[in-house]
Amino acid sequence: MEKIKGAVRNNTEILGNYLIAVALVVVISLFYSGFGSLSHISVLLSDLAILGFLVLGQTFPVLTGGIDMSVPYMMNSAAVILNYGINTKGWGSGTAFVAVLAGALLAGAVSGFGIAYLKVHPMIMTYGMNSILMGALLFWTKGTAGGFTPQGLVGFAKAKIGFIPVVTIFFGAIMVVLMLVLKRSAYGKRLYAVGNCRRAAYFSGVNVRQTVMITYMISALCAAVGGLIMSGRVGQSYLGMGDSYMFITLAAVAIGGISMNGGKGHTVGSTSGALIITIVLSVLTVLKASPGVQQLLYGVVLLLALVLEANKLQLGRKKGGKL
Amino acid sequence: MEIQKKLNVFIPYIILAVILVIMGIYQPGVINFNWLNRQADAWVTLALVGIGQTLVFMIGGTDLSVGGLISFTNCLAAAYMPDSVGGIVLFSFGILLAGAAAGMFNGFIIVKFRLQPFIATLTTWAIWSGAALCILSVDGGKVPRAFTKALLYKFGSVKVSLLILAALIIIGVFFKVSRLGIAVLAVGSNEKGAYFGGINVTRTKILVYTISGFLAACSGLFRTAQVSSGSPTAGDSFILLSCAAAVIGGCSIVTGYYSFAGAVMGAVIMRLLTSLMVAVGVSSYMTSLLQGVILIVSVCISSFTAIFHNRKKMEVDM
Repeated sequence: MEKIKGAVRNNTEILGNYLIAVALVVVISLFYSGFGSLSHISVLLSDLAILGFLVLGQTFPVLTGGIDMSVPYMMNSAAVILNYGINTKGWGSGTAFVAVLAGALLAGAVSGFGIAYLKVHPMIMTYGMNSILMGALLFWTKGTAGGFTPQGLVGFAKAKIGFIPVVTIFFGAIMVVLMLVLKRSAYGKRLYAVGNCRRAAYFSGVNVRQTVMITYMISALCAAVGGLIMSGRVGQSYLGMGDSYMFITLAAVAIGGISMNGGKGHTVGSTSGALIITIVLSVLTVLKASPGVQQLLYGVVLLLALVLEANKLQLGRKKGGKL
Repeated sequence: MEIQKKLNVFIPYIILAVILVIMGIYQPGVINFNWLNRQADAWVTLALVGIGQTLVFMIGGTDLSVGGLISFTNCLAAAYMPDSVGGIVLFSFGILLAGAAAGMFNGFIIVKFRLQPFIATLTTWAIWSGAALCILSVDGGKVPRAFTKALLYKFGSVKVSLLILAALIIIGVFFKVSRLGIAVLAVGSNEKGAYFGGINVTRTKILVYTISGFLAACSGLFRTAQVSSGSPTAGDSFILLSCAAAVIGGCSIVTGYYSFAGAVMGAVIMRLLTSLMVAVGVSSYMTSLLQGVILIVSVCISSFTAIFHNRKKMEVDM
């Protein structure tokens, strides 16, 4: 019981996020009667699964104080490789899935290697990787973006149990697994150690480079899964399908209580951020907000989340009497 | 150490020479003064941002918002610029001021809330490119003829862009020995040391971001004149390219070297890559791949310098 109380006390913000999400749905459904209906909630939940996977991925690099800006083309490549491989190259679906996951792991490993071992700034490395993936994708497919998604994946992305989409359950399971990895495994402990103080972690015998490199591989894998689910949902793949997700994942992570300086936060928190963003996104669609207004709002929301976080830190510093 | 320092300085010139030689071999006779004049337009937009990015790198930051700012100023100019000469001048000054103010805002939030520069400028990038999308949702707009003519004017046979490139290189020489130039170096190499040495760190940082915003707005205006239309995504490619230009230009916070000339060369190299690929006959689909590879490789080279530096100081290599 004490343990639960402690957990609640430490995570009031995240609990608050979930309450805000529920309240948002209730309040908005008062104005737009269809918003709170089961069918719309089911749509929201499957949106959550796509964004959620990307956000889960983003969580890990951010926990080490890094960032993954290769999310857009990581998810785009996953979708295009699968569809192009099956439709044009005549791969079997098994081969295609293995190729996608192996490709994502490889791209993540390259980013991670550059960041951890060659000391390239995470932003430059992952943004460069984004550009490389885009070029490679264009070159490989000669600009034809893949085509239709195999029926099996479409079926998986659209399947439902009751009103809950299967992909959302899948997402929830992965979230719990990653939460356990963070909180219960040795790797998780090392990750927090690196995020809190790289130097101290190094002197405690943590293999800092390896720990950092693995976060980018996890991120790449999650982005690829998100991309596959999105292509299943949409029924095809197209170039630029992930472009809007770069800001969104970061905004979700920041709202989810994960410190951009690293070392604080977890996947349940980042999921709460993803949930709020999903609902806000849907509201903006209902209100017919233009893409410009949407992007402006992401920027403002992200900035506010960062500033609030920074203020808290500064207050903490004043309390602790440190510089 | 000395050799590495020099290596950084000469790398842009070596790469440029190699590119020019390859182009000369594949397309003999293409490179002449007219070609230089034509290309200078493309170079100057990137060189301006590259210099801003170099300065920001030198104080240990990054400015991603340049992309958003270029799109924003581009759309603003294409959508609302008046036709009268006085109006054009006033409007241009207004845009430059807006750019400087946006840069100052970046600096302010980074210093005041101690945000990580790349995250803080990422948010302002989203804000400015969102604003650009609000002004023009698709490519379009109309630019007054007089404005286009003024920025593409030829003095004899020399274009304005070429003159500006030369001017930037000369200004760079003086900037490095100016009060601000020295403060930038001091803040970049050791913030605490600079503070105790009596340098106003806050002011220096905010000024550098202001300069970067101002230069991005200049670049946006140039782009408007060259394309004579506006695009809400005009600036997005500039983020990667400006970082690459700065890094290839040889700026290194560890060795404390930077120069405007280097940044200009970096910009020229990034712009020439496309021409190079056309000359060699590689698919233009590879452009962004090559840009990414070059950015990462050049960053790796400069980070090796940092690693050697750390080894020499017997700093742990984490």
